[in-house]
Amino acid sequence: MKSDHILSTINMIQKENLDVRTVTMGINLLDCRGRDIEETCNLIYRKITSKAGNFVETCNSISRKFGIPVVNKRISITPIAHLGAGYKSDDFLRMAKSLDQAASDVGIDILGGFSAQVEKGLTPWEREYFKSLPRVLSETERVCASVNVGTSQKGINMDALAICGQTVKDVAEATRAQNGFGAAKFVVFCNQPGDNPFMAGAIHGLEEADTVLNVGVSGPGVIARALERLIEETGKENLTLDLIAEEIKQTTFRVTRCGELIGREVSKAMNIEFGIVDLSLAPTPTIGDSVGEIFQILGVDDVGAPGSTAILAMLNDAVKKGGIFASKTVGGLSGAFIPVMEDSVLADAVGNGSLCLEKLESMTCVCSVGLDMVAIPGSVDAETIAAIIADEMALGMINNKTTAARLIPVPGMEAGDFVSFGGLFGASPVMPVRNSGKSSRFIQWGGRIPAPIHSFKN
Amino acid sequence: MKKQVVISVLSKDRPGIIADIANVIYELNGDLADMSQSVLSGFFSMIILANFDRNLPVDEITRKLDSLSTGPELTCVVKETGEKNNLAGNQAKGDVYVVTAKGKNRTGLVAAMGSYCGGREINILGYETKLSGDAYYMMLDIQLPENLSPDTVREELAGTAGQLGLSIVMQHKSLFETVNEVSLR
Repeated sequence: MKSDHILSTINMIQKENLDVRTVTMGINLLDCRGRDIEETCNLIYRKITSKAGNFVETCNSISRKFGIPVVNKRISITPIAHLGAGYKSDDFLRMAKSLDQAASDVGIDILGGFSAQVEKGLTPWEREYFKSLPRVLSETERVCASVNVGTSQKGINMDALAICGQTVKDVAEATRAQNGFGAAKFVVFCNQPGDNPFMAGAIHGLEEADTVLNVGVSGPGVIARALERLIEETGKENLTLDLIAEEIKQTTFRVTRCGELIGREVSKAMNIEFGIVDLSLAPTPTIGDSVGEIFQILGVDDVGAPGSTAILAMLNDAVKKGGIFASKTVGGLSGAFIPVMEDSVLADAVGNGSLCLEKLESMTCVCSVGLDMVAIPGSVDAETIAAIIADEMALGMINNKTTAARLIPVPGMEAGDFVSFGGLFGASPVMPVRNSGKSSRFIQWGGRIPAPIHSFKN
Repeated sequence: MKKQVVISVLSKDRPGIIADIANVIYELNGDLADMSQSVLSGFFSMIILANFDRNLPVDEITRKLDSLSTGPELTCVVKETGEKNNLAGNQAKGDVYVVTAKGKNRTGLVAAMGSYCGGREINILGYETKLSGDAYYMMLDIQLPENLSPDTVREELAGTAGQLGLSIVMQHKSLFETVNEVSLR
């Protein structure tokens, strides 16, 4: 092995903060249905604690062996509405509390999959599920919820989407004391993948094996540092965008390989099937771990300035090209995330007026997810929130990609006020919502937006 | 009866050394199984593993190689390998780590690292150093005995490094292979 390869790898770990962002264990809970809710809750608790009892310690031990930090250890479960067929909202709340307890007892900070898949229709128990969410997300600490309301194959369920708009408001209100933090644990999806390891939208899809390990690769900091090094060593005058894209590709290859290595080792140690590596660049509020910073390195002074969408398109594409060859199986969301509150540079761009909701929405056409962690005024009405979500879902449905919305209407705050959740959930100014209150008639139609023409391929 | 020997070659560097040595082995009906070669400061060094179909005396191989020598520039040493693996069982099985050390050049750095590894029964599989200005770089492939945890070695190496003014990083070798090579093992 060449010594310069060794030294560049050491640099990635020491100076560029190479890590594995998350190892997420997916657990199928469909065999946990008991004769009554109490037995179901006991079975849920037992299955999670028995499958994941040594999960955190195993990840830590592999992390020590290879000298690569595994930042987050998480669990995703079968969308809970499938297990809760026939249950009432109180029963869903009891299941959430069992999940919360199990997550706490196995030492993980977040569990995803308190979810429903309602893209075509709603069952009575899925309506009960929705009713339970304000209490679930305010009375549990670790449980995250997500709902899939649309797919490119089936269209968008606008009845469910309208309920989502109201649920976002209700959850935020139920967690008013924490500035609506509960809404940060609730994501609405179009084309939600069943193997995404990143929270809050991770689920263990029905198509998956009983237990599976999925890995999320390192954050954007490594790419940003690699680009800075390239520019310093090569000189701006000698670089063009295709050369920069090539550097992103090669760096992503290395980053993904690390994820693949850790995933395989944890999977072997726990005797659990290794699922996928998710290539997503997931920023954190930590300085130097920002997707927004990559925009600035590539030449826009603020995220949201003209050129931002083109940069994001190139970044997202180069990340996929580099990562796909590096891993046996790529899956999940795999692209670049632009979660406003979790990315300090994006949050700054909101603060100085460079990044508005409309520009953010256009950027989500070319990134891997959508309107993520966007704080909006608490006064925005439920139907406007539903309509914002509908726009985002339409982008996903028509473009055959995953889109999501995680909006936080911060109770009592208006545009320009500053909200902070601390930790990984970050902080940002509240983003203004223009044209609020003008979409009620559209949302009130209900029904479904039919599947797009290009879904008819049979 | 087959015979395996290891041949060490040291010479002032010039074109044709590898050809000369390889031809001798070929003429003796030997098979060159493995080799490692490098040049340092104008001196050529090579170590070869060769297999012979018959029980060829070591003296005969040495004589033939000596015939290449034209004075003190080229020296060859031939040894029978004997048992293929004479490392302690647990040592041969342990994980391989890459240690990189960087610091100001001073005497005794390699000796200190070697002494630490020797004292802990850590086998050094490869050792490269590089002097760049006043900075000294060392890269070692080490194999840890199975009963020695990487955490312990990292901690102890950090102690040794502190005394020597070195910054040391130790990472599992498979990390470098995984990150830098196309094929996945």
